[in-house]
Amino acid sequence: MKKVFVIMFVFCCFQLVAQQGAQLRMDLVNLEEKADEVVSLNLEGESLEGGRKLLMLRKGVTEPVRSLLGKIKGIYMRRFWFKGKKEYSEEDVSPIREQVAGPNWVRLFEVKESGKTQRVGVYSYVENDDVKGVTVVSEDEQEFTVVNIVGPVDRETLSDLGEGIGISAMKLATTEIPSGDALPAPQDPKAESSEK
Amino acid sequence: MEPVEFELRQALSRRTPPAGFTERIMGEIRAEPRHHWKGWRWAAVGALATSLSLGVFAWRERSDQRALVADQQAADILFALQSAGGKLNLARDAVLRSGRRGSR
Repeated sequence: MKKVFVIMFVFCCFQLVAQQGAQLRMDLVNLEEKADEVVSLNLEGESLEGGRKLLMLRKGVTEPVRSLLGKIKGIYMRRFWFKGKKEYSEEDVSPIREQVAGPNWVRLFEVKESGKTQRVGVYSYVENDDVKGVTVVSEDEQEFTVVNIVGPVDRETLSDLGEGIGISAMKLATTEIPSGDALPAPQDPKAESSEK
Repeated sequence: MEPVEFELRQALSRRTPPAGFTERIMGEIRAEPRHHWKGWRWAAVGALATSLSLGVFAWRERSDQRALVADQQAADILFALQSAGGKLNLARDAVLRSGRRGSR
């Protein structure tokens, strides 16, 4: 019996470590002090569950988005906006850069085009060939954004969401919940985007 | 007539009440304290109805509040996911553009 408990405890510890591994520490004190506007979101546990349940019921949420929502364990976002240009330094954002350069983090894209100030990096946290999380870091002259998603994230669906497919956050409050228990049939995201 | 029969007749014979008997009895009846049990019953019904209404109101308020919080959480989730997706697309498009430039 004791052995079973020990195994369960070790398993739980591994799960916890695995989740923390994909979760970044968002302690960006310098940026918070310098920024004129800060958006900070920590969605996990109940705060994630409540919103997720509601989204699952909403019309217009496509099946891939539902699937993505069902797998996410946490979403952490920081967006810093500055009135002036480049008010922050590399040192200020280094806590994030150092973490995504750490073990298990795989750089998918890191783009900095010549003549443009924006620099975007997309990183995956991979463990035993499984994606356990994704982090998107975007730097611009007046903005620094980092979104850390913990859970097996499908990049295609995330990309679709970025194109506005699925449901708009602004329209959410006015979106109907279908009557009865029946959920709407999954829609073809491409068909919906072409209608727009 | 037997003495027992005589006594019984005496006892059951109609007698005229003394003067003021009716007034005295009616006065005593009026003076007796009234029982308010019906009033208490209505008060209990009222209290029950009030507490039920208050309970329903509080429950509705709470569920409205929860719905608002869930709405905000859902909007936050979408905002974060759409931001991440938007940036991901920016990076992907840039990679595709650079790939096309390279192939030319």
